Amino acid sequence: MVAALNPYWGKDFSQFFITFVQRLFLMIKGQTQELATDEIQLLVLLAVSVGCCLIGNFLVLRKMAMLANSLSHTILLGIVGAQAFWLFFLRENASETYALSLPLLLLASLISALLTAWLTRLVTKKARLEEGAGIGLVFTVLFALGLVSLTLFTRDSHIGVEVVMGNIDALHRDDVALTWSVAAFDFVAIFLLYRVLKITSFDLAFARTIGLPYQLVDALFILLTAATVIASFRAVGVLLVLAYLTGPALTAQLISHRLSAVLGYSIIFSCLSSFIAVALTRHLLTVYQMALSTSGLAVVIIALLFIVVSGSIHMAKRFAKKGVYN
Amino acid sequence: MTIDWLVYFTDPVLRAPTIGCILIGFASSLVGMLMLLKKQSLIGEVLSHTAFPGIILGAALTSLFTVGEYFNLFVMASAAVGCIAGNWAVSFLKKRMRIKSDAALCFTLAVFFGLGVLFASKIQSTHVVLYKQALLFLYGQVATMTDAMLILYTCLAILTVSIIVLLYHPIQAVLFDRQFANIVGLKTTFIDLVVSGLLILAIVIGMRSVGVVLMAGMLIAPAIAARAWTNRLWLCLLLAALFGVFSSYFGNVLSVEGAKIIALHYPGWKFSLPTGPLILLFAAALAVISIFLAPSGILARYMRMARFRRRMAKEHFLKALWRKGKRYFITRKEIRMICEHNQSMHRVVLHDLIRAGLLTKEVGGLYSLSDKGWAHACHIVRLHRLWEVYLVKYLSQGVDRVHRSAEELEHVMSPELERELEKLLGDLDYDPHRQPIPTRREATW
Repeated sequence: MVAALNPYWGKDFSQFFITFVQRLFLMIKGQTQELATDEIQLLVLLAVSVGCCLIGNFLVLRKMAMLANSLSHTILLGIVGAQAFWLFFLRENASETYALSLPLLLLASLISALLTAWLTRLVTKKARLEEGAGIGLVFTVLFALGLVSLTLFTRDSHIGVEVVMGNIDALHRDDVALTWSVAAFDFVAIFLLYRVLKITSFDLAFARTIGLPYQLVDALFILLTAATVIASFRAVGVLLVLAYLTGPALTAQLISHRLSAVLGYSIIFSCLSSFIAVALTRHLLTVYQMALSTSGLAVVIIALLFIVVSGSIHMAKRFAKKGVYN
Repeated sequence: MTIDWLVYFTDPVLRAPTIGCILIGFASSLVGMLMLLKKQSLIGEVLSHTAFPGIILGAALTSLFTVGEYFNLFVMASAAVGCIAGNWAVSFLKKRMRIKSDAALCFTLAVFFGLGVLFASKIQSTHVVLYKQALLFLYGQVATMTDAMLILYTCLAILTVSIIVLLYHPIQAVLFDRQFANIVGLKTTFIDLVVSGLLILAIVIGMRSVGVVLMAGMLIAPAIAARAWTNRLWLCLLLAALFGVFSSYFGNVLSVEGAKIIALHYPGWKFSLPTGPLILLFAAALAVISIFLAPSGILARYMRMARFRRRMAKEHFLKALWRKGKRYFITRKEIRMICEHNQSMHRVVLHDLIRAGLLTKEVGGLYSLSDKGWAHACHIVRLHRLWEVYLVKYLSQGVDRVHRSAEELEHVMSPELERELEKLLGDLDYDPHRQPIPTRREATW
């Protein structure tokens, strides 16, 4: 049985961490190679945390969070497109079940995300719409197109649930590699573009004055965002990625105003919530026999962290004020 | 293949979905118009997602006591609670935490949805049937509408219309000039609450039929379409409602007829076209068409630009001919050289000028300016040089720099402006470059 093979089976919250550290030592010594389900979940969530925080901070600063929301919806169109492409061109045998290749899926999603961003820009610029209205029009239309073609090509509505909510239990070793490579890609890109991104995020007029290719930077950034969202959606679903993108960034921005510090804090918060989420899910399963969604729990923990941090800052300020007047 | 348009209102199976969609489309496009003018189009998208934990919790709660046929109503009420909480969270983040609008919206949406996913993971193993019914709210299903539910939709439509009619002026004041509304003593927060309430009602009632994401679209697309045509609020609302109703009706028709057509051509391919997305696609098509074709739309703008470019080319050509002298016979080759920067334009320019009687075609493929054409050319040169004088004299521009500005300004003169300029400058003979200015008599025709 799989359950018997999982070393985390039957562990509660504190035991989870003890087992984790033990297995980490074992792995360093080279005595074990297999990754347990919990470890795969944890690794994927950590990669999602790192990647999303790197991108998310800039997303919040550039006021593009709702664009990320629309990208995450229109991925559906990309997935359906890939499936249709697969159905009509690549699959020789019509009776075969759907076995989509991952690269094709990723490429199609990336194209649909870029299409969304481009169309949104086109609509808001050319039709002189308010940005929110432009975003809303474009992504709902593309989503509707995706839904119509979904019923046309696949007759399978299951894909919808999986895309929206993610399926963290179905994760595979390949997902670890994928999410970590995207996170590494994000890290390298942000590292190389750090100054340019910083300038274009804080002072676009200045960036234009000194002749930075701000439109190119924008396009690159949208590409990064799309790649991050796509890499994460199998684990946490397209909508919960948004919490990973905005939540830790907003929490960190409460603490500091230095971009580098904010980046660091947000990654710490995000990774912390991932750790707690995986351990807590295991704890709840062991102690109360309650199988909860790890990604849902992670998002709730991110929100709780935000509430705790903002609350304590509020309290600290209040006490500081009282001290002055007493 | 003929389509019986009326059958959608009489057939017992098709009747409820069609009329239901029309009522929902009507109410949601009215509210959507208000949200668009408030510049808060995306709040609809956020609230329809924050309803999700409410829906799941409500569905789970129904297992505790017997609700029977009121299941849908009960779930809608709990969805409304989710919406209200979401609305409060967004405004709290924006106002108290000073978080930018987009981040506040996105964070609220994701966190509430995460809460929903968490609850869903709990009840999907314990209450399988309830979970499936709750998911219907998320994706929407038009076909399951019944006559009984039409009463609810009618109430929604009547409520929306009556509130907008009753509070028309206060809403207008709050939408367009909040400070004014405050000063004259209107309760702006109350109006905000009423509008949010309408929005939440439209969302929770409409969601069941078109689904979460498409609900957001139905709030936005008809409003954008209507906004393109007019600046008047009542007309905007009327048009939006009209577009909403139209797209709902045709979305329904398209889903039924389209399925029929496909079944005819590909028998054995069993599926139905989803109505919700088709309604939205229809509304979006209306929006795109409106954006292009409306009097202030993209097409009109491009045509205005093209007309101006054409006039400019004509005027430049006339000026170039004026420089050659009064009775100058010009060949095709020279014309082509004059228009060297814009080859495609030279045929159009020639045709226009000959038709307007400014240019006459002489024997041997030569062209010359007519008297009228000469006067026109004089007029343009006169304007150009008057502008140069003005720029030098009143705006203290350097003499060597005024030519380029005048080159652009000469095309955008109205007769009134011209008269004022003449009055201001008096009768002048020479421009700053010591070139003679054509007299007013020369420049009239």
